[in-house]
Amino acid sequence: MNEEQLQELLSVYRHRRPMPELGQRRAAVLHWWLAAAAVLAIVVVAIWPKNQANWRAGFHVLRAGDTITTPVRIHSRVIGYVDVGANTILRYEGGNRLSLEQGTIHAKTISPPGIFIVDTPRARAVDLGCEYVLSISPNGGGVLRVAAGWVGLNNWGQSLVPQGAKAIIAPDGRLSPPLFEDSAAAFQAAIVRGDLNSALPLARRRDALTLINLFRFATPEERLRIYDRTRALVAACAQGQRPLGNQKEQKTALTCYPRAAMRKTKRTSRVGETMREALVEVFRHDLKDSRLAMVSITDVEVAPDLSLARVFISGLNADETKGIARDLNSQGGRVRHFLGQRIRLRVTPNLEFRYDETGARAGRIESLLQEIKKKEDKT
Amino acid sequence: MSMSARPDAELVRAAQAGDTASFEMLYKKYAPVVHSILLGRLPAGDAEDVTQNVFIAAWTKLTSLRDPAAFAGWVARIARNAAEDHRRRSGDTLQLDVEYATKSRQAEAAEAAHALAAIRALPEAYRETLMMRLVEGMSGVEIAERTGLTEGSVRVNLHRGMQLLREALS
Repeated sequence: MNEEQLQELLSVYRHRRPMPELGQRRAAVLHWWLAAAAVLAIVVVAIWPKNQANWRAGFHVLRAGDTITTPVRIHSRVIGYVDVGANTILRYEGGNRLSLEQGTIHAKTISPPGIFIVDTPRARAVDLGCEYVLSISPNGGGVLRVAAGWVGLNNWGQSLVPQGAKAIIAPDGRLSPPLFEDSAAAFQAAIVRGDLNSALPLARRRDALTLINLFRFATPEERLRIYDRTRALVAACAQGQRPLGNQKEQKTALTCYPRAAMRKTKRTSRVGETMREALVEVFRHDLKDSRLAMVSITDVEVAPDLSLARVFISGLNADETKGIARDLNSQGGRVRHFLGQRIRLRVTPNLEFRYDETGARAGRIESLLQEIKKKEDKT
Repeated sequence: MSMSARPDAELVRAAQAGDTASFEMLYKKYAPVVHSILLGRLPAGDAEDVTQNVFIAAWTKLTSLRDPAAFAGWVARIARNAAEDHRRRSGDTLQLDVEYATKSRQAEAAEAAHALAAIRALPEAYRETLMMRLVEGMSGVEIAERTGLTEGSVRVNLHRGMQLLREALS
């Protein structure tokens, strides 16, 4: 093809549009104001402390990665203070984040809710404007006691703990519902061991908060009993209805994260993809588990409020992959901790690992199609 | 493609003072150059839109151009930056150039899209010069005048670019 032929061929792309409508040009003086504002902004950013939280232990300024193992008070003018107890391992992760490996901390904050975060091996405590004591055992379990305000305790479940209540973190990461400190010891013990029969009669009016929190993980039959007991303690509102609908529907509605809330948006897709890439690195470098070499992360669904991320994994052996998903869920806090170090999000979403059945289903459909084809060939 | 004999600097000064007729002359002269730069980086439909945006931005910022004679390089820089911005914003969206043609000329359009893709794969110096030559139909002198390159450089770029393009299309 010669040059003329190419010109003829490519002339279809030639620029032909007339000049666009030209808007009003801004006055030059505005440019000067904008330039001055930009310079001012640059100066402010340059002199503003890079680490806004600016945690200090005495006169020593903490740097990200510093570990504190001795009893000391650390304080930040924008967050508040944290008293570190004896036999405690606390790491400063940078910004407004601490990691409590074990031991006890007493935190009192002045910052707005949701800013100050403490990660533990099994859960994350999000300060909602409060004062609390968090104790973690070497096995990862522990207890959160709230003296003022509220604290959100998250992993794949969530416990919102109010003033005067505590939440217990089991060594496997399960969170108890909030339990008021002044409730009967027998009631607390029954709730922790999941004994509904013993717990319900011991509940007081104030313990209705604990009972409501049990709904999420209860069976439909248990929900009815919890509902009746709660209603006896606290009068239901006029529109309140006893949950007598289809049991399957109730279970789906209450135990699953709302499907609509997991809808994909441009942002959740982008965050999901970033998380997927970061999790691949976490699997490869941070988690010392050789089985993860055979696992692929097929998708990450993220809730629009970034509170939950469903991670779909697949592998060659379905049973083994399901087992890996279970194991990953049991160490959710640890995985999220590593993930938090590899992505830049204000709050790292809770992780829920699931076996991705798409591949297995596709294989099943493929084999069915082949079977049909064989039958057709025979006939 | 004969253009006004008025030099760029004079047109730019008049446009800086608010004369839209002078800016329109600049537009007619440089829109093919800007479009060529963008077409080498963006899908055809986007290149048209972004060309318009580049000139709107140029009109808005024209008062900040200190050397009126440097308009050619200045507007080309705006175009390259706009292309990068547009690519970043649109992510990995794939737009087929073949859709740009009318259905009655689908086979020809596919061939044109193939040729366009081959030009895009060339090094930048050859790519932009060839776009101006083959797509916009500009002469070597016009390309040299509007890009600031010497006529010799344009000739060399066109020759080597055509050679590479023929190899790619053969």
